[in-house]
Amino acid sequence: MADNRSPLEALLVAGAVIACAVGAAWYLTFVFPRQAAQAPIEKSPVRAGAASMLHRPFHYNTPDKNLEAWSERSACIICHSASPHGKDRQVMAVINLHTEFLTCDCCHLKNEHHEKVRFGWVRPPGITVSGKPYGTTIDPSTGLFAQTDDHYSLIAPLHEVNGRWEPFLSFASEKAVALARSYRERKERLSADERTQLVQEAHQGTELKEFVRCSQCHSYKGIMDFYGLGFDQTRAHQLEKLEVSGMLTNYEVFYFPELFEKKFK
Amino acid sequence: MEKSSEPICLPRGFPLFFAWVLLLSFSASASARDPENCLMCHKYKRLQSIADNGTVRSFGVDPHLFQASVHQELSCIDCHSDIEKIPHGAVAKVDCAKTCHLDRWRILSGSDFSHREVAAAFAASVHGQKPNDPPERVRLKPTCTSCHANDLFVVGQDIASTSVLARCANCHKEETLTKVFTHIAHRFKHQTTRPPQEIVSLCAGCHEDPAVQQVLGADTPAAQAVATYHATLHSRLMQFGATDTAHCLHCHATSNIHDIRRPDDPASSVHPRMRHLSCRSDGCHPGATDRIAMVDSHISPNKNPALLFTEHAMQAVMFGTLTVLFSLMGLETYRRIKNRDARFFRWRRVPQRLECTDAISPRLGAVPNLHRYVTFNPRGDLPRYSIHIVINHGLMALTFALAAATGLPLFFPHAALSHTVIDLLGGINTTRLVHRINAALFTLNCFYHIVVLIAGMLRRMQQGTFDIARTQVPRWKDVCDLYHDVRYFLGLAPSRPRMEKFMYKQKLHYLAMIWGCSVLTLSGCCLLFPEVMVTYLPFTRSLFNVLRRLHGEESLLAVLVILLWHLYNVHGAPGRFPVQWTFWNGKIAKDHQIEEHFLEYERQVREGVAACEEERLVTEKIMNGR
Repeated sequence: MADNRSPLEALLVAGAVIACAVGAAWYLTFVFPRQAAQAPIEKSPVRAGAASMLHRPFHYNTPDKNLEAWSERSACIICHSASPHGKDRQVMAVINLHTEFLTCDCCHLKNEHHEKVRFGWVRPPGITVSGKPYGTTIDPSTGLFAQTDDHYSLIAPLHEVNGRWEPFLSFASEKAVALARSYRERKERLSADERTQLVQEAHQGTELKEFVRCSQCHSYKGIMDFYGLGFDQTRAHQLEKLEVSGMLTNYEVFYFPELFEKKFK
Repeated sequence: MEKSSEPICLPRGFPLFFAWVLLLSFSASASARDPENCLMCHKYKRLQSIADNGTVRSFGVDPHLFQASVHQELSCIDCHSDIEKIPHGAVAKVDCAKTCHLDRWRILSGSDFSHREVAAAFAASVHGQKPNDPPERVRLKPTCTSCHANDLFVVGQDIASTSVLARCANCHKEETLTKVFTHIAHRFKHQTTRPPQEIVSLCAGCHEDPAVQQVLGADTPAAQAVATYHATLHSRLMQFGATDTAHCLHCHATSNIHDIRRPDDPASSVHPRMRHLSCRSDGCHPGATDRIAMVDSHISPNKNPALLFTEHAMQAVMFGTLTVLFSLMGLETYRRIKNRDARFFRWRRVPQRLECTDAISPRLGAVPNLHRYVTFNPRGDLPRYSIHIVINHGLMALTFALAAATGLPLFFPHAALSHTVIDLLGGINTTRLVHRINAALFTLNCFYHIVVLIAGMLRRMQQGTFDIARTQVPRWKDVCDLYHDVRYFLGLAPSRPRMEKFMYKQKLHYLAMIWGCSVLTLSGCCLLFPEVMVTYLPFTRSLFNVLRRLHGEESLLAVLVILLWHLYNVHGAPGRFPVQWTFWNGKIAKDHQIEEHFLEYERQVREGVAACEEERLVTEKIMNGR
């Protein structure tokens, strides 16, 4: 009780209490307001650096849902991005546009496997849709691709396994995706031999030089059955003749590019 | 090349009504113009190439976006006019100032359309490229597309012209008429087509970028513009979704939008001589005078010593206040537990028995630590506050809590909790309205309290019972009581001091409340009526900005003190938990009165309001002793 006066106890109690008080006051004065001020912003406007603001696309502001869905689920995209063709400056954009609709092995499948496969649609696991794949149907009122909720399906070569048609190359399997991620993360630390070995392992069944040519698909008797894949008649017709009719009818002078002749006959 | 026909040319000044009739003859096109079939390739979003520096460049055109955009009437080569073959290589940058041969525009205005005027204003602005700009600055200067995406054809929904259109539509069913009329009416209302959040984000994209700040000089106002804007009320309201708050273009541009100039340029809308006109525009602050130029619109302590001092002073005050209060709380709690004179829960507290060996006498003050031995009613035994003070306190508690709930989120606009609170309150505009009405009630309650105090004082003076010792006026005795109490808490004194109706803690709290209410009311007026306050407030340049800054800082301090100290002392301390009913019935329990307001207890015994507890204890002791 207070009658047993102890200066030592008083000193210890005062020291402990004041130390706690200083700590709490310091936190509430200097730490808490700063933490609250730096808390993640939930509804703040999206900010971008000057570089991206100065070069943002003028004509496109919608997100690439297809890429968002596949970016971490396709071993090909993990390593090569959605714009994998960069060697030939004048045609790479035209080739790259196909990655929104096709898996890489549609064109880069080894010739010896072509007899075993047929083309069908694949979707990333866990995504359900009700409409037809984007780009297969033309809206007659606008002449543009019809709106749909399926921005994720890609055409891929399939083969029959136990009565089911499955992707010929397992580019989206857990093993392939893990291998690609591992390669992406360790790339800088790998030796040249290790890189070569991993690249060869990852590209079994693919052909990087003797790929499918434009006319093998975009023709009336092409390897791809556009009608069978669900394209409507208008769209299938456009794809079979490479949609060039508009150019031919609207230009008095039409320069057919030599490089297309040379490379994509 | 494209087979084009000669455009229709009409003489300048062609009668408008006839032009309108001609306009109606056009049917609204359902799809974007694409005579060259450029969309054959460009409709694909992955039409992408890799630049030399490894960045991906997209050439895709969203056909749906293009179809609905302001440029829907143009074909691709109207802008990309250097393309002559397909496939084409690199194309020249589009010159937005070139003339567009828009047939519909020509019919309406008699001339071709061009962005020339806007381009000229932009070129003369701070963002336009100047001959003496160093290359690193030129690289960072924006172009038209840095701010403008091709998605701006937004038709206002809430416009007064709807009823007019409805009558026209009885005969004129053409969609074009509706579109053009609505578009023009929309522009007459001067509505922005982008939300303020997006505009600020757009400007921040460059002005917050370290590369830009490096070129501008990191400590220049322009380089710090975004950070200092975010310290303002304008920004904080904007971050919660307010659409009627000032964003960058409201102040830094005229209605031309593109004529943003340096603040020291006399033609700039934020030049000190022009600033009040900008504040008046759009009906924001219609009463703004040239004195509003004194207001630091981008709150920056670095350029305002008074603000810097205030910021540091408030931090020091908060740290010092909380340290002292927490120390007192800790010491008192320690002693109350150590002495076991209080069970934690109030309803479990039972009076201690006075030992027969203790020598006592029945006179007032003869029993040390009397509060340990008395019985009490947890709902209160003795009168302490009048009904007016109870109402005052209740209103103060309610309005203060509501003010904190509706105001503090603006002080922490980045916190997720702040956004949750604002959403729960019905959005930022509802919250602002509630805060202002609540502030008015808060102020009225303060005046009510003053009236109650003055009336009570006059009545007591008239009765000859006025005693300054029973008021909240600080006295030297309070300092002595504090010293005595600390010694008791540390175990160096046998009992607590004999204190008045209002002890040192209550006086400290009351004085802080007077200061807080004054600051919050005055600074709230600065926020609510800036154009009035800036006219009549002395030392405007310093005081106005300081007061605005103090509103949030003082609120935070008040909330912390109320939550952590006041509520703990009154309802949370051992022996007081969970509640004392004084706030409801104005009565105080006997043990509490004796422990912390012994002199008031003495006074009440002498006046016959309270019974003498010492007498009761002597009687009980004698009876027990038998």
